[in-house]
Amino acid sequence: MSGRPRAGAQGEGSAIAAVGLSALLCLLLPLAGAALLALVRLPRQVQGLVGAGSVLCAFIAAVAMASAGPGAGQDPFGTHGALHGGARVVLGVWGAGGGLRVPLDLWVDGLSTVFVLVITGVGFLIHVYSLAYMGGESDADYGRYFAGMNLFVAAMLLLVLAGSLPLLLVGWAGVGFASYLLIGFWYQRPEAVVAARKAFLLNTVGDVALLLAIAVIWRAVGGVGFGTVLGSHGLALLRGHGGAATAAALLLFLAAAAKSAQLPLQSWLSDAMEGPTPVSALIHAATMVTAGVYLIARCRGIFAASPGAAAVAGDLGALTAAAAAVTAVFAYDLKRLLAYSTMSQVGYMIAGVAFGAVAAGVSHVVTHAFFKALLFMCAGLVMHATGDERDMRRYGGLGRVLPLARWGFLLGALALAGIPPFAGFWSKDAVMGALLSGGHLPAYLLLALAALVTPFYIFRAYYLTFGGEARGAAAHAPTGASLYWPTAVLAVLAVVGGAAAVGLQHAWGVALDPSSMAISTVLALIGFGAAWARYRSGAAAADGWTASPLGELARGEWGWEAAWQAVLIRPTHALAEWLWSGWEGAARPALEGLAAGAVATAGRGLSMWQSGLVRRYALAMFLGTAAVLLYALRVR
Amino acid sequence: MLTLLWALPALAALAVAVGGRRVSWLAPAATGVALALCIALWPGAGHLGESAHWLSGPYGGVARYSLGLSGLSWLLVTMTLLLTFLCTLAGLRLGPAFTAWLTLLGGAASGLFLARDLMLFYIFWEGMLIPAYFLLLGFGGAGARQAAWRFLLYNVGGSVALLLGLATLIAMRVHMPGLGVAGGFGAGRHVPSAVAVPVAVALMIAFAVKTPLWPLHGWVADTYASLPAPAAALVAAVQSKAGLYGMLALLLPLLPAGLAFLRPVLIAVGLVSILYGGLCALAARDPRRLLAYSSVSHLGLVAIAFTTARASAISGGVIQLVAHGLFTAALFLLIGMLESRMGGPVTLAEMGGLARSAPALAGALVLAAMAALGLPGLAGFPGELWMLVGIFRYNPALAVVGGVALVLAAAYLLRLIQLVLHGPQRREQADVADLRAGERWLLAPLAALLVLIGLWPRPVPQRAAPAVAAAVASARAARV
Amino acid sequence: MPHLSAYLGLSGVLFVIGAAGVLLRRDPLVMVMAIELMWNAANLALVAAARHYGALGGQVFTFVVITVAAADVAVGLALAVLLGRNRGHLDADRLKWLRG
Repeated sequence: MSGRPRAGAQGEGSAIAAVGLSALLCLLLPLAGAALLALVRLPRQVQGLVGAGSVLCAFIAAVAMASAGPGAGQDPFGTHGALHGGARVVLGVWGAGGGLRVPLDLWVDGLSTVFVLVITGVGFLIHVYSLAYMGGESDADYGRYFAGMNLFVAAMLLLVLAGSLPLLLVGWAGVGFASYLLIGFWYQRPEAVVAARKAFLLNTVGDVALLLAIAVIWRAVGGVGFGTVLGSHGLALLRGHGGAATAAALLLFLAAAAKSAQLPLQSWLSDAMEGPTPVSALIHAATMVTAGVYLIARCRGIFAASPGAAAVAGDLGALTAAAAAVTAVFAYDLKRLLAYSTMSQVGYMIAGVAFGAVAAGVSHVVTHAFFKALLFMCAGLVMHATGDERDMRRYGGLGRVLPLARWGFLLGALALAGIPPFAGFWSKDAVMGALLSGGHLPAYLLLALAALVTPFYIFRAYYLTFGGEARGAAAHAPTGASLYWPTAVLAVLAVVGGAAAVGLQHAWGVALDPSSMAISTVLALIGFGAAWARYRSGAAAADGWTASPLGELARGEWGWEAAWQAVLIRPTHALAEWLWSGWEGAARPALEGLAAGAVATAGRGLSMWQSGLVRRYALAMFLGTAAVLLYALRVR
Repeated sequence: MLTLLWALPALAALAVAVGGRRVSWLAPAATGVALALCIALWPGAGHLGESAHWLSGPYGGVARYSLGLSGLSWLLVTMTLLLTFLCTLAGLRLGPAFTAWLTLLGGAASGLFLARDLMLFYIFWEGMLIPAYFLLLGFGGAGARQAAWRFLLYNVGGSVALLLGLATLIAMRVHMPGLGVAGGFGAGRHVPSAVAVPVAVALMIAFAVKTPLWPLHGWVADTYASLPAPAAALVAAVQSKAGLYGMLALLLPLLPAGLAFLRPVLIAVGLVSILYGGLCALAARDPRRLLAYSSVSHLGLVAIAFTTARASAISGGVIQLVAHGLFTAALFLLIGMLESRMGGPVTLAEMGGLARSAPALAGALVLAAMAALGLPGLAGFPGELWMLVGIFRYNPALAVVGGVALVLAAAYLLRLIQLVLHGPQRREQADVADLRAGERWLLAPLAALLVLIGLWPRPVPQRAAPAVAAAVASARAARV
Repeated sequence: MPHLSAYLGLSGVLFVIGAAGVLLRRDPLVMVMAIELMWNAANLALVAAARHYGALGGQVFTFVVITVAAADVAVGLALAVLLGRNRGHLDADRLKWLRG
């Protein structure tokens, strides 16, 4: 894995070398931080310094990479969604055997640059926030926490910088593993253990889907590097190879659905809220769940080659957006509500990138990272203030105790609700506008429904938490400057981040659609108005209607989990149990016993011949000799 | 020179058996020297040619004493010697007899991977069986007698089949191919299919017992459950590779017609092994049996990969052989360390929350289990990648089942991790000690290799490439 | 000089008598004698055939047989004597402690 980065596919050698070096640094710094934290017992201050510092350094390297390389403004796609104009950083060969050659490349273009900046930038803020948030943990757990977070950042960076699908898969599974460690951070709590296992298993389904997608692609194209597969030649091969493009696209979508918590593999995300709240902010809101968006965007050409598969992906994304938004309306648990909201917003992104509106989808990744991380940080402040209470029915009146959390949450909510001119509006509407002008009406209607419901549920949460009178949970403001200033930075970004989104869309050649903007604004205002009308008092009574059976059904996630349990998981365990006790425990030993018994019986039977009578042995010898002689004579 | 690679451990075993406890240190020392020697024999990077050793022996034309070190052999011998070294160190306190038998087992396995003569192959094959039997009989825990009987009957049955098959080949003056070792060996003569089919069946029975594959896996759970942990680690990690290595070294190059005949059966057996092993591991009550059945599942996939006779799948299978050796040994050693703290064999239901009192042990167990379930970035993944991609090219449906196996592996290994390490801590386990320095150094090389191969697997398939190419070439030549 | 077939016929008759002796008598002593009879039937056939064909091989082989037969008798008689001394009887059918 040695060797300096060499000149890539294009551009001047020195610029590429600079890009490669900064990308490599960006990748290795958090990895080194994770290794250091995991293997060496450091004093507490040093642990925090290493944890947050490595991500800060990675962010600096990312900025250097963006300025030396193609930069975020570079449109990464050419015709038919083929990759175009990226810088390939050649580091060597990862492995080769039997015709499958996996290059050890990094791929730096506009898409990866955007993601790298978001991951390291927002990631750094969340690390800083964690310094104080996790302050109550023991030294060993503090180090373990930052090791997991750094490992996550490193894996996520590998995911978006990898230049070939198997390498991407390494990062892909790495973030899943880090997520497993962090969801199960409080591993003595049974719920956390179960949630971590569920997340890991569903993510493994996604990993396997990606692995099979690699197999499909390799069979059709004969390579796995991005330059080979996603260039125009590779895409032409894929199109010409029967259903390969469709199969690959569907498998890629399945992988993305697992990672991004989309239907049909969505159910792990809401349980993942068992992890510490900064983890939820970083992994389950800002970055990891957008990995599926990255994958589909990166493989834009494959989805473009198979409109049918793209429609499946986009429609399921839109369906997730609507269904999760509706589910969020009924949630009592603040973190779960934000998790449903995340699923819903990621649904927008998936719908956008699957239907080809990559700039819109990716710009929504950026703004969502800002405002959803902000919302989670504010939720974390609330939980810290109330002694880890997560039930909104026991909040109320917290705005007075936690003014910063209140204003931060309000700005985040406005951005999430898609109310202009806050950040979320510009990117969300870009997705909807693209779908409308692209004629994807069913998906558009689902997204419109979600856009109507989103302001309602988030302002319901806002009023129930911060408005009205205190309802039980005692609150005192948590201390620690590092809790507050990252929140403030993100709050600013939630307001002005729309500029980044619009800039990105402009650079990648997408324009906003005025008629769609008008519709979205109206929808958002209606949703907000409904929430204002019902909840502005912040009284618990206003929320009485969610206690209905419909609400119960929604809080039970519409029976989805129970159905999986009944259809797949319990039968699997029953089969395993049957094989274990019925077959391995009883039948196999019985068969072995039968075989042994047969041998023993045969032995007893044959031992009758061993009579001990010499004369009988002699007779047998005579008869045998006579038989042999007769046979010999007959043959003559 | 190559002789030393197996003779040093074997002689050390003899010395320890005679000299007793005072010279016990000889066993790991000699194995370590052999290991260093083997590493020094790593030929210049990127070269295909390997060194070969040649002596003519007392059998004249029938059997010769000939060893060859191909890249594949190098990988397997290095792994064997490393694991023998570590396992003998881990088992020193069990006494000189234990050390002697264990070292002998390692020496025989090294010899097996070096042998380039059919008779010699058989001798080393049997040489592995006998130490394992005595380890089981002499040092096994409760129920060891029955486990030893099971082990002996299954494996002797396999050996008889192997002997019949090999004797037929020897009688037909068929020589063992060099398998990626340049010069000095016969090119591997094809055997007419009327003979190849029964011989292949006989050999495959032996290989399936050793691996083990369903339905000849009956001995494995009891054996792994009864052996002392260091011995279980070596048997599970190294001896199980003998059968699959045999497929690659004998079945593919010598008996392609037999392989073609057996292919549907082998694929069915492999599939059942994958799913059956995975499901049984999901239901297993104790960690050792869980690992035993997970081996059945993992190695079933390798058997399918070898059966396809495709270079990509076989490359993956070879990577997996090495990786499986490393993580299985690590897991068994860790289980052994756990048991020594808990005062004997444990069931999963009796454990929980150990991560609190033994964080380093927990970390090591998570690492090894993650490698075992094929987490990308650790050693278990490259093998799965190459295998599944190659198998997909052969038959997509098979690859999908392989994918199901990966999910199952994640399920049962997470079950292992979580039941042992996570959840509420049990009172009686509050004072379980963390890894001692010696144990850390024992595990460090394994952990480092698991990470290294995962991050940069290239050297493994590169080493094995000539052998893989040779095996595939003759298998393909017969198909045409 | 009678014809070869006469010698062979006599040899056959002697052999059958010997065989019947081994199979029907229970006295080890007699059984050894019967075995001796079979040896000599074979010798007779060998010598007769050798003379008939004018080849010496058969006659040479007869010497081998006589030697082996002498050893056989020595061992057989020693066994019989020991059996009689240790067991107090000479009945082959009662000597069946090799029964499986």
